[in-house]
Amino acid sequence: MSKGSVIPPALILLLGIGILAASAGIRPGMLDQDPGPAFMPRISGAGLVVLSLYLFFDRERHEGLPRGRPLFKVLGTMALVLAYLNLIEPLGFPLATVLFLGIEMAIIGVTSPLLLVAAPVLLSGFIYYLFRFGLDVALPATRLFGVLI
Amino acid sequence: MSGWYEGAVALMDFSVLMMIPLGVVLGIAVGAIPGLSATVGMAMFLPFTFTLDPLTGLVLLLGIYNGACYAGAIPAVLLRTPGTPSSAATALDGYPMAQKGQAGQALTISLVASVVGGLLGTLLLSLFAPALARYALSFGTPEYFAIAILALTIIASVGGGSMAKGFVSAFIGLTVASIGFDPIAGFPRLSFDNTSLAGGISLIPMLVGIFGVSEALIQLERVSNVHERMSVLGTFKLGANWVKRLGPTMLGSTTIGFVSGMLPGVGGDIGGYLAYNETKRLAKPGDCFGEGEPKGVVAAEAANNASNMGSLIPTLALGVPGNTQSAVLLGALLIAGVQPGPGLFAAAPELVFGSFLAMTLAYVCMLAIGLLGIRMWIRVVQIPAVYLWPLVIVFSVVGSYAVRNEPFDVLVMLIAGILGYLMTKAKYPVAPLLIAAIVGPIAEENFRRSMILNEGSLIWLFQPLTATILLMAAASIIFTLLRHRKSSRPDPTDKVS
Repeated sequence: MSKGSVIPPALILLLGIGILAASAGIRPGMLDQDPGPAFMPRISGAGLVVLSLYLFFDRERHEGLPRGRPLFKVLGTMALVLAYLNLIEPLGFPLATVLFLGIEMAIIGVTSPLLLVAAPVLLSGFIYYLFRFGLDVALPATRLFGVLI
Repeated sequence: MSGWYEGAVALMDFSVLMMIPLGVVLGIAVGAIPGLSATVGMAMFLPFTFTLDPLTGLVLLLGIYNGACYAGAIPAVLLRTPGTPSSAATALDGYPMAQKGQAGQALTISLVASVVGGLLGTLLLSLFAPALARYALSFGTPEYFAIAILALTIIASVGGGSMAKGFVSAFIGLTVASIGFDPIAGFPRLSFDNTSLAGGISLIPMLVGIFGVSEALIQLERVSNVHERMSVLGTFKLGANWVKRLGPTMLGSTTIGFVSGMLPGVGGDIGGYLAYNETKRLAKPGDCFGEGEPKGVVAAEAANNASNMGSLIPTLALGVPGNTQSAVLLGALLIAGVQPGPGLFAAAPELVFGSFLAMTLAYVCMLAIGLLGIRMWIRVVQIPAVYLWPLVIVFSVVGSYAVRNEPFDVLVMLIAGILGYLMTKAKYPVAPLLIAAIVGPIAEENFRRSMILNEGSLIWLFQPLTATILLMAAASIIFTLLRHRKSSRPDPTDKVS
């Protein structure tokens, strides 16, 4: 059994055990006939434990995580989205989006400096105006951007 | 008849009417891009329906659904890469037609078949859904529990190769749905004293992450600046006798697609294959399936569009999703404060009948937009991925943030996206997670209420209708198991697969 095929069922087993453990702390229902608030989490936890044991013996091949540059693109994107969501409120949507798009496009292989600057600025501005005025969705904007609208 | 009148009046609002072409255009754009399925498109635009009234939002999403279903045929014909899973069968004869220099005709045929299949499917939907809803008004908690279980059998079908993996995904969905206050006693569950978790996980960020962000992460792995070479288009005009030649296939495939769409978990992709195989089985001498036979394109496209309409019957009449896309629609209705199910037809006739009329107009609109803009849609196929997928992420972030202006929701979206990515990589289907998250609470609430009403006895499971529906659920799983076993056996004589 390869390492790659053991990791998913092992994680599912841990998740199932974790859910069962967490459901032990849920208060019982107020009526004797009610299976109680812990009913669904217990079924889910038990189901995951049982299925994980079955999947330890599953021989289906899976793709596995990428290596090298594709892995860098995926991990870089995940980290960048995490930074993006933390920057939306302090920097405002337009500026945070320009930074996100510029760095993201660089990560996935765009090398032209003009494209890396122009495309994020144009796209970010277009999306901001579309949502702010087209769909009436309020997005955070900095004072710097506020003077432009 | 008053329901139709109220629906027509509601539809006459300019903002609602405008959503029909907008939804169709967005749907065609989404469907034409390989990797952006109807589900991803609907998930991306779902958060922006919050600011709209329920009918306007529903019309937009239905337009995207229908438009994407048709446009999936464009890359299927031109690149042999279905834009959506439901167009997989279209590629079998559409791409060989393109190789023979008949890409233009294949695209016109797929558009006309989609419109005919969709229009007839809408007609059948408007006939059957109200009748089923009237019957379902007499249902109690046992029947609703049984229907929820029947809907959960979709999981067996959408689980792909491994049913066990489908159920793992479903149990994760049930766990996510359990977070927050329980539906009967109102006690907190699995929230770990976190105030953000106590309110439960919002469906939208989870849905956007699972479908939008995870797909973006997968596509970003293989992004390149290389454009795929497309076939010679040829003429878009059909011959004079095409109605006589293709009409019967269109009608037969529409029927097959609609009926299969009503069954939990069958969906447009399987409906398309079923109709294709039936058409092939009834082939006349001279028909050349697999080598560019127009009837193959007609069968697949008419069936998958009709199947979409069929899947809306359980969604609207019973409040349980017929497939993944209708689960997204169901989520949109729930978030808008509308409870789908038999009561909806009496409580909000303008919404139900207005959406039937809107779908009819959407298909007419699709024919016009499809024919007029066919050369432009072909270019959409070639939008550079280096712009597309980062934009999908930005839309996902904005959509998740716009739900409650809460960065926590964007975090949920990111975690759901990473989970969806890892699950897809390990060949765990993600659709069961969403379906279980929607249907699980219905099953739990009705099970617990039935237990309380019957003083802890399980006798209610043996009531005639409840037992019948539960037997249908068991039969659905057995059917899926048999289908999996059959499909896992190699068939060297089958040129289609």
